Amino acid sequence: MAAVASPQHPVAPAPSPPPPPALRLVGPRRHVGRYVVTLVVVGAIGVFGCVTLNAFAAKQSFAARTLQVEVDELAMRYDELTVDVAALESPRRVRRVAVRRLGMVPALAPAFLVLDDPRPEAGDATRANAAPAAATAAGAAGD
Amino acid sequence: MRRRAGWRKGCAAAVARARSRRRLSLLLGGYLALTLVMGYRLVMIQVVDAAEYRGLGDRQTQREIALAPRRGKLYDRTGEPLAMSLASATIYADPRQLRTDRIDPYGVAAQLAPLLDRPVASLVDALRADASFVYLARQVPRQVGEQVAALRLPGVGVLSEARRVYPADGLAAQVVGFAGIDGTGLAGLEAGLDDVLSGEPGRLRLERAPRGLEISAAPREVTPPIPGRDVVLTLDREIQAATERVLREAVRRNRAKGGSAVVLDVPTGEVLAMASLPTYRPDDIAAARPDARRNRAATDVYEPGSVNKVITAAAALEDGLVTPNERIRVPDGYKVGWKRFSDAHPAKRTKLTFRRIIERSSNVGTIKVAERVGPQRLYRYLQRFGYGRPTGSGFPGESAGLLAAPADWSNTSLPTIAIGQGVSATLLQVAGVFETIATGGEWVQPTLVRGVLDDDGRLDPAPASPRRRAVSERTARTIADMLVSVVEGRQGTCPLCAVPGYRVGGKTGTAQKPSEKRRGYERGAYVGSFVGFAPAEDPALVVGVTLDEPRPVYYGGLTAGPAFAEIMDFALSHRRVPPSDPHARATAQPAAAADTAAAPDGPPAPVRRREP
Repeated sequence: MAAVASPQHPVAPAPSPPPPPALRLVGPRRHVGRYVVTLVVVGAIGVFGCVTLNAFAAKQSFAARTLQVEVDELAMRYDELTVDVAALESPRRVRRVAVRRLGMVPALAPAFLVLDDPRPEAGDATRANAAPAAATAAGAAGD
Repeated sequence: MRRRAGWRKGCAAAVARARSRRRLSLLLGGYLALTLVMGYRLVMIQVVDAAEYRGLGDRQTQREIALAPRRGKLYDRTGEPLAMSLASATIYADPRQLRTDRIDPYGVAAQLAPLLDRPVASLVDALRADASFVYLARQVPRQVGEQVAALRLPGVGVLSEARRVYPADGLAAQVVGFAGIDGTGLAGLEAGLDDVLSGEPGRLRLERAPRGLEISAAPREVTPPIPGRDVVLTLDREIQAATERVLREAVRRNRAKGGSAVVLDVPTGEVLAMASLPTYRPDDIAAARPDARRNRAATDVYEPGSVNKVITAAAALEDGLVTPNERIRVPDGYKVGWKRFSDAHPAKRTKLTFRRIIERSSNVGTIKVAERVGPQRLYRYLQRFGYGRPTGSGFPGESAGLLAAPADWSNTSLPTIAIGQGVSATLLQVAGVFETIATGGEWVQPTLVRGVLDDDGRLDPAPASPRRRAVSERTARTIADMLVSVVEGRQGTCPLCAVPGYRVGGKTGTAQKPSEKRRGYERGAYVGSFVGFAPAEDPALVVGVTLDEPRPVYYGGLTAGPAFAEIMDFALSHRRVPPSDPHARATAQPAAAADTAAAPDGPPAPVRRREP
């Protein structure tokens, strides 16, 4: 005779299976080392760049200052030479040198040519011309 | 017993509580008072007196250095420099530092003396002064400053300063004027244009430590100075030099006390030359006599004499009171009030045309015409021609002249003013009269400034000179024609004023000088003058010349006239003005050449000619 379990004797429930482990997303593998290296490199480049730029700016600043000093010096020299030239070109001095040292005399009156006269008389190079430009033209022509 | 003791204990506690509350109140009151006082001080310091405390703080921690601007240059119309500033060195010392550091002033002075060109004793005196700052030399060449700095002498320093120089060899000295050692304009256009030339100073702010040491790492606040602007004058260096040379020669030849001359460009009213004698060298102001510093042409007034007849004639012609060919009886003498007027050289004929009256410069004829004009009208025309007020040329200290209102005229004022006595004007004003005739009746304000250079060196031209009509063009042309006869006419008073090849119009003037000591005129003291224009058919230039007390000949036509001709001759050639008669021009020998060839330093040879 087969033994039948009596319903009066409840059977202890079977232990529930352990819950499956929670699923978690696994991202790409982190390369922390790379990050650190990159950051260090970028930082180093940044620092180096800043220092370089700063040094470059300082160098340019010194160069600009040197050039400014040079420009000021040249401007002062230019002014001094301008004064010297103006003194040498002074009409009083020029006249003094021309008359006393070189024995020159004032020029005779300038001639005025008549450029619009179609038939100038022979030997008459001193006809009137109302336009002052004629005088300039005469000067340019070497008269 | 117990009840009684309890009652006492309760009373004591109540008293103690009351005392405690009073202390508390007192404490609170004190606290509130203290808070109020502190609040008051806080408001005073932070709000009411905040600016003052900020200033005190700044003074303790900051130092401000003024940065001097570059003073602008003065150029002539062709761009040649007349005044400019050069960098120079100023040497100073701190005698207190020398004493503190126990440095022998003799040693320092001995090293500085040859560089500064000062005696050792004088430098030692300066180095022993009871001061912390003394100048040892100011505005010496900057090379000297570099040499002094190279010595590294304790207590001796070098400052950079601008020095004003006048490179044109004293040309137009009175017009240009001069600036002081601090760069401020003191005379002439240097003073008149000071606002334009001086610029605005900048400043440098430095942080400093409590003992005054500069904190080099602290930020600097720099406000750069705004340099002064360069001004281009209307003067022409060549014409100015020729004018000064001719005037100097005229003063010497006529043994005059002084003289002045002016050259105007007719279309624009620009002053091309303005000269006065005696003169001075602007680089040696200390040696200049006060009267040599005056720009006589603009600041000194004189009675113009017969030159004034031009205004009388213009008034009469403009109002139709006379015609050029009207014959007027001219007696030998003419009495007005108590005074008898006569001509220097009475005419043989008693009737002269008005044209001939001007040509001969007849006093009597002019007075008779002036009586038709009348005081009010003559006064009005004198004003129209620019008398009685400065011309507005821009020269500082320009005189207005002396022109009394008709209400103040005596019964002899009309005839005397009509012939140029009893009224005073500057040479610039008188030249303005002839400028008016030359322009065809428009009075043009003379100007000395052509413009200002911008940052790129381009000329920013000054506004055109104001002009106003004084007489009609017809009257001006008639007067101009009559004035030509003064030079070219048979009885003209100034044949020596002719310029070969050009038609010249002008008027002589020989006026007595008012006495400085008594009423009336100085015996034997005259001002000889000639003012005119050329070419008469289309005037380009006006030239005026006056000589102060020429001797022995004093007539304007003989003293100032030749100088006028020479100046006009040069100026016309230099400005390339075509001659009226080129053939006559080409065959003429210039007066300057003849003068130079003959005897440049020879004695004067006055030519006596008739001239009123």
